[in-house]
Amino acid sequence: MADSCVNLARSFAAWEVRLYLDTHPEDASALALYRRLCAQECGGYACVPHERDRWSWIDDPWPWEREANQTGKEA
Amino acid sequence: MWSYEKHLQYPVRIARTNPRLAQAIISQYGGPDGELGASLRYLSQRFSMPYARAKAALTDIGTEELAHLEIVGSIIHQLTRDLTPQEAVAGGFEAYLVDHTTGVYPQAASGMPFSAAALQVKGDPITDLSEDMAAEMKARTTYDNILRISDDPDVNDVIRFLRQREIVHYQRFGELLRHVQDQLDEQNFFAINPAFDLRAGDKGARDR
Repeated sequence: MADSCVNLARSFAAWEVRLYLDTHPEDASALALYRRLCAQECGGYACVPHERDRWSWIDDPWPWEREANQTGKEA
Repeated sequence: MWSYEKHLQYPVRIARTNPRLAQAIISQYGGPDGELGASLRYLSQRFSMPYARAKAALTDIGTEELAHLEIVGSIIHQLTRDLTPQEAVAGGFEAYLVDHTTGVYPQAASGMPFSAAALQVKGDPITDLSEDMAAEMKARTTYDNILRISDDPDVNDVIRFLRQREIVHYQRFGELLRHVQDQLDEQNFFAINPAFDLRAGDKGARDR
């Protein structure tokens, strides 16, 4: 593979835990597993920013919501 | 928005040309229960979905379906990459070849072009999540049917991966449906549409 940093198996494992966390955001052991998988250099596409102790990926607002699109002019 | 990773989610390496099989598998590219419809369904349902964990799952699963669309397209491409006109005729591929040569076009195995009529965005969380669970099972059955007619181990290995993903997504949508019902009146889940009747800042029934 051209990019030696791509690890399909590890990326997929992290992705699978991410989907699980979406429906189990309070599961601390799953969050710990996700963080371990993504701590590797090549966590890849599955790894997104989140708070340390909580699966905050799911939190509002989402990009299509007005609250996520403040321009700075609005109060 | 999205960014692109320059690799497949699961590798596709097919040795043998097989236009007949390509014509069957293309249903999961642009057919009624295919990956394109799945992705459009989930990514479109997000806008009216009031529950945070369902917004996240529809985003993530809808994104994974785009990765699966790419995998199915890769299978079609590799099954027809070295196709000769003689093989096209012998494999019943003439009609497709005339219309698309060896391009990958979103259509069903029957030849019907992709249609959004095969999916729904109803704007009601229970309705949409029920549709999503059904959609995953329809795709799983389609992959089962492909495995019934394919004897190519290179193809079947990838199809089995995709089939398993349908089952995992079905599980996640089932969990979401239960979560949504937990937020509603347990005497009558259907008394209101929480995507329509609880708007205007009433977040009481919407936890995350």
